[in-house]
Amino acid sequence: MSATTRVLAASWLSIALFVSACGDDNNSPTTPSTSTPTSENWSGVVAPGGQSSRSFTVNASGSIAVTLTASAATLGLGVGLPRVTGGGCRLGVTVNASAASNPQISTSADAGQYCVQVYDLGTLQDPVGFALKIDHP
Amino acid sequence: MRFPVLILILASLCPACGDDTPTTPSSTASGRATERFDDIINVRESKFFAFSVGSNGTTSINLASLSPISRPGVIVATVEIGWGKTAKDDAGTVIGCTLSKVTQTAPSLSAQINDTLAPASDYCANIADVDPATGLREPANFSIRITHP
Repeated sequence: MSATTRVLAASWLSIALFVSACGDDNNSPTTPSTSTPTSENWSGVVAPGGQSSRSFTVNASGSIAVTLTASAATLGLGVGLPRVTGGGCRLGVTVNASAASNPQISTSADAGQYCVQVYDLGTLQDPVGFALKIDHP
Repeated sequence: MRFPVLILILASLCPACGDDTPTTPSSTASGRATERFDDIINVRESKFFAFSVGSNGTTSINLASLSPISRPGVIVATVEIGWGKTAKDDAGTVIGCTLSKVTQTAPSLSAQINDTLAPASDYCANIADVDPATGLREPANFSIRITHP
């Protein structure tokens, strides 16, 4: 084998190695994640005449379920949109709720930012603790 | 002379490899904007909000909340929401909303209106208390979401 032939053979081998280094690196684009059901727990205290709210994000259209799981008194429970400024909720759905294991609120909703609010119905004499669960897409 | 030629061929192949960073897939919400129209509406009153649509696609209008001014909770009432084109005076000042579509609705967390709108900068969303029987009996805070391309 002449020197020229050896150089050519080595060169073509190098080319083959470079080409094999290209191609599928198993880095194909990830597909958008589909929304999985999310459950959030929250607890707090409502003072007489007061209210307490918390925001959450719904990633896809679906059903929002809110369960007041613990409270020593009947409270106002609502779901709505967070205020643009100043905190709190602009409520769209409300119920008077006592603690239970099944959702007191179940409503369809588009994807977006939401809030849940717990408030005194005008009956509290002392602060009341509560716990609730929010299930959403 | 052949060897330098082959080196050049090898060099030209190198840029073909390298960065294989995956492209980021566009999300379903890509390019969509959500605007909030929050205000107070009085009994028998109407209010509008101007917005632009940047590209073809579905525009959604959602009356999400009607709530009392000074206490928590919601107001149970039916009002009219809709969309149209802004009306301007001779000076070009927006003075009203000429409605193209309306619907009577109570608040919901899902859009009440979904329409395909052509790109334009002179759309408006409107809310009006029109029905004395089912409408407002007191001033109300309202929240409308407008989602568009």
